[in-house]
Order: sequence, then structure tokens, then C-alpha cells
Amino acid sequence: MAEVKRWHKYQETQAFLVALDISGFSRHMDKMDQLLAHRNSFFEAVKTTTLFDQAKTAGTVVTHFLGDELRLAFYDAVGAQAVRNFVEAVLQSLMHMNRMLTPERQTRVKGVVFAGVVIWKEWQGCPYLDGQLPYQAQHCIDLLNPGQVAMNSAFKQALESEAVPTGTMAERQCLDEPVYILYEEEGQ
Amino acid sequence: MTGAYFVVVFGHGTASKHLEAPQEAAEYLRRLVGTAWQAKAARFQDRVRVSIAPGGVMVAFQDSQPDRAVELCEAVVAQLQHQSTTHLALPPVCAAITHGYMRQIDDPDFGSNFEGSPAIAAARVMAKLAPGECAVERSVWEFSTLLNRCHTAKTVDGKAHDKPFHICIHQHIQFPTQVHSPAFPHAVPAEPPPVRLTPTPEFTQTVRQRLRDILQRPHMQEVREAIVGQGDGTAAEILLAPDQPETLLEAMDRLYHATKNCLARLQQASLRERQSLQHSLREIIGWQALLIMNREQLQAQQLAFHPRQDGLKKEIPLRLEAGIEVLVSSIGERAADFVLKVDNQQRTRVVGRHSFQADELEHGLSPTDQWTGVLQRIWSEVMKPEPPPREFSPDDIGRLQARLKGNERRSNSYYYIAVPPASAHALLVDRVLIERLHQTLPTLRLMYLIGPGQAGILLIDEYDFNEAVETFLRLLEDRDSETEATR
Repeated sequence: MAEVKRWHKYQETQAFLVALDISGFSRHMDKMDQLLAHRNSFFEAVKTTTLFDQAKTAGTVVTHFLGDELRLAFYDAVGAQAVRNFVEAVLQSLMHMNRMLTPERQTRVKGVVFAGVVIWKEWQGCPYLDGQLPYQAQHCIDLLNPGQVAMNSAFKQALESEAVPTGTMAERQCLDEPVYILYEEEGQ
Repeated sequence: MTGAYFVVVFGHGTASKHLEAPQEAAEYLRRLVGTAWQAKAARFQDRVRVSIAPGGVMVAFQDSQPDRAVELCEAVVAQLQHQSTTHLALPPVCAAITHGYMRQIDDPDFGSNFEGSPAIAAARVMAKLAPGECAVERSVWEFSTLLNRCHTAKTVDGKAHDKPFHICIHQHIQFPTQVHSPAFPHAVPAEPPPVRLTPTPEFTQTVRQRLRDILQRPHMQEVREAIVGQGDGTAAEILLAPDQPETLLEAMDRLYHATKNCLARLQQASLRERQSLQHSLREIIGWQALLIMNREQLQAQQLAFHPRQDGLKKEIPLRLEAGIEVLVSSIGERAADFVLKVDNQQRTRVVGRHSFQADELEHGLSPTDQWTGVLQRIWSEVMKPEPPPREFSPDDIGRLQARLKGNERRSNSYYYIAVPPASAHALLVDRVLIERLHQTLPTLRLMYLIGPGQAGILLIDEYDFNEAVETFLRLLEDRDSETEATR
């Protein structure tokens, strides 16, 4: 039986980094119930995906929560298409939840999906994701609109290697490198 | 669950946009705050939560007064002041303090964190600060101890949809700033110890499992039987890894006797067979050795550092290099890897395979330039078979650094320099030279042997242990001249 790859701290790991940011989270900074509601919706959308459930069980995902942003690093063995489907499922789930809510209470996210090296670390008991990708992710997320998810060239290539068509995706520049709009909510 | 917190966030402020190496800057910041934290570890143990962002470190104290938040800031200032005396470049550091109610987050999938206006405000304010500044946000002004030490209030803008934030700048908490260098590996302080060691009983079980795996290899059958034959039917791995530390030397002797008999019978075996056997036997003594370490003391004395930390300097309460190898291997939970080395005084020493001895390094290849000579010695070991350069360029240093890190990553081992205790042959050791080397190659750890402290970290006598390992390695070497004896 093939060895199951799991995350190990302080080791450079080829991964798919998904960084999703709750848009406009700080707008509600004085309303703790609103913050809670947005975060709960977001967490719920992530937890109900097939990939997250499987990856948690298999130990192929590690997470880093930063208050209004959730970062998930999947071992690259899970496959680029599965990660793309995961992002789509999260956004679809949120859209479904949002249908019943007024615009102010709707939870919307934006983010990036990058392929590359990630290092899982810990500081004073707090696990976090390190490496060049998380820094690029932070910078690129700021350039996006709510409902947009972008990917880097490496993730695009990973999709193409799995025969997933990527030809029609819009291109942006982030840190002098191209990123491609992987997903965009209708109406953007 | 909610509670009142004081939040301190450390970051680079407005300078973050101009950092040429943001990742290194963030790594520096974590180490800096971590070192400051460790300096007052007892104060920061309880009712504290941490959140890490790519460019910042946020600490939330569940307190009714801002004392601990201020103490942490002051400790960071002290660390920077200390470093400013020895380093040419310091990265920009600033901080913001806020107060208010926050919700604790304890999610089984996403870990512990916190949320609320103090955290958001702290992050927003910090992003607007100039290097060196410590801002006290209006939510903390009700605490006169802080307000009395502030400059006149001012307002900073938040994001587009935020309301502005009212702050004052603390007069006494000022983070020293110097001209920022794009990369500042020389300014990296020691990291705090993040490792929680497996308790001894569980670790003994781990060692036994490893020994069992090794003893089940086909070429180990004879050794396994020879070990079992010395007991009363007890499994070999238990005979080699007893629960009672006082019988560890006996257990090592069991391995010695079993090995002696088997090696004698293997004279006619192929070189490959003998090498396989020797490799497995080295692994066994490497695992056995880990059981001499008092893991609870190791943790209590904060020696449970993470072996993959860069720039690590540690004072080790031991006398001999073999003990350091046991210590770093214990923390990494890998078998110690010993080799015998004959030093320039013709003394045989048991050392770690990936260790350098400070006094040996100084006897470099270059008689005139000792510094280059030291680097050449390291190069010869790490970059072999490539000969060392006559003079080292930045590219050469970069390549050497990368190879050190790469070898560690691939072989799960750790390079370090063992510096002997002052009471031993320390007169031969130029500590300034060793420090300079450490600054050039910060991934090389410096392990200062300082002699045993009051609470020993070894469960058996260090010299007895060293003798047992040395005798065992000699036994292996005597049977095969190709065994690695010296490097």
C-alpha cells in the first residue's frame, strides 16, 4: 500500500494554498454578533465540502485562521481539480446561504488558489502557514473584488495537467506575475 | 465566550510596503517577539491567545489592567536595544495596543483564535504607524498609567469603510530603528522553544517499536537471538530499552556482547552484508542512547528547542559532545548518529555525524587566514567532493548555506558546532571567531557545553555513557576498516 503523505511541521511541502478572506468583515467590528454570523457561515461552507472532510481525515490539509481570513494548504496529491471544486463548493454554499439574507448580512469572500511550496509552522502554540506563497496571497487578495478567486500560473498548469480547460480565464497582474480569475460571482 | 482583552500587535507599519524581503522580515519579527516573550515566559503563560498574520504577530491578554501588554512591548524594546549594539541592521518594528471585549474562538478544525473590535482596530492602527512607534488606541486611554505616558492624541484613517481611529504615541516605548537592510540574517535572535517533548513512558514505547523494526530485518536475526539469549525470554527490544534508567548501561552491554559474537562469525560474509549489519547496529545504539535523556528536565530547562530553528545558540548543561548528539536527536525523535573522531591531541571523541567541533574547526586549511580556513573546513565536509574555494565570495557562502539546509531537510539531521566547556580545552577556542562563523552561516547551531547543572538532564553518568558508546563503535570499526571512523 502506498504511504499516505501527511503534513509535518517545519518541512517545505508542495501544496495548493487556498486563502479566502471574508469581504468587508471589519465593517462590522463593533457588532460581535455580525462577526460571529459571518465567520460561522464561512466555516460552515468550508466544513461541508467533500474535500475538506476527506483531507482532514487523511491529514492532507492544514489550516491557518487569521480572524477574517482562512488559509488552507492541501497536499498537492489531492489534485488541482479537487481543490478547484472545493473553492467552487464554498462559494456556491455561501451564495445559497445568502439568498435568504439582506445584502448587509450576506457573507461574501474573495481569495486566491496558489500552487507552490508551503511550510506549516507554529509560534507560541499557534499554527500558521509560512513560505513565499502566503505573502503573495496576502498581496494579491487585496487586489480582488468580493466574489473573485484568482489562481497563479502554477495552479493553472496543475489544472491543465489534469486536462481541466483554463483557456478563457481573465488575467491580472500581481507582484509582476500574472494571476488568473478562476471564479467570479455572477454580477461582477 | 467573550472576555475583556488587551491586544498588542507587532508589525512593520508603513514600512511594510517597502520591505524587499517581507518573508524574512516577518520571520525576524516572530523571533524577536518570541525571544522577548521567553525572557518573561512565566508572566505570559496564562490567559493569553496568539494570532499570526504574514506581516504581524498579535497577542491578546485576558486582563483587567494593561500591565502585561506593556511588559511585552518593553521586553521587545529591550531585545532590540540589545541587538542594536551588535547588529548593523534592524528591521522596522512598531506596535499598537487596544482594549475591549472579544470572542474566543475554539474550533476543532480551525484552532484557537479571537475576534472583535480590539483585534481589528489594532491591525488597522499598526498598519499606519511609522517604524519605532507604539500606539495606544483610545480604548486604552481609560487606563491612566498608559495615557500619562502618551504624546498628544492624533487620528489615523482605517480602511475605506472604517471609522477613523484615535491614538496617542507612547513616549517611553520606542522600538530602536536603524537603516533597514533588505535581508538581515545576522540580526536573527534565538527562537523560543516550541517543542513539547513526548513524556518518557510513551517515548520508551516509541524507541522499542523502532528497535523491534530494526531487529526484524533479515540480517539482524542472529543479533536478535543473541540478545534474547541473554534474558529470560523477554523480548529483545525490552532488553535493549528497559524502563529503569539505571539499567541502561547493562542494556548497552547486552548489545555489545551480542554484536561481538555475531561480528566474529561474519568474517567471511560479504562487505555488503557486514555494512548492512553495522548500519543497523549503529541505529540501535542511536535509539538506545536517547533513553539516557531526562526528557522532563529537558523541557523544564527550556532546552527542548526545535532543531530546525535557524540561528540557534544554546548553553547545554553537559560536558561531552556525545551528549549534544543525544539531546538534538531526542528532540527530533530520531536515532542519534555517532561517529568516532580523533582530535588534534590524539584523543578519541564520540561526536555527532553532522557536528563540527569548535577547536577542530579553528585548525583550518589556511595557515594565514583562520577565518577562511574555518569556512574551508566546513565546505570540505558539507560540499564534498567539491574542493573549497581559496577565498569565499557571497555566492560561495550562499551555496554553502543552501547545501547545509538542503542536507538537513533531506536527511532529517542537524548541523551544529559543539563548543567545549570553559573548564576543558576552551583555551584553544576562539569564541569571537566561532560567533562570527555563526553569523555568516546562521543555520549552523552553536551548542555551548557548559558542564552539568544542578538538575541533571542525563539519567546516567555522562562519562559512563560516553565510554559505552565509544567501546561499541570501536568494536564495529575493528571488524571493518571501511567503517567511518573519522571524517
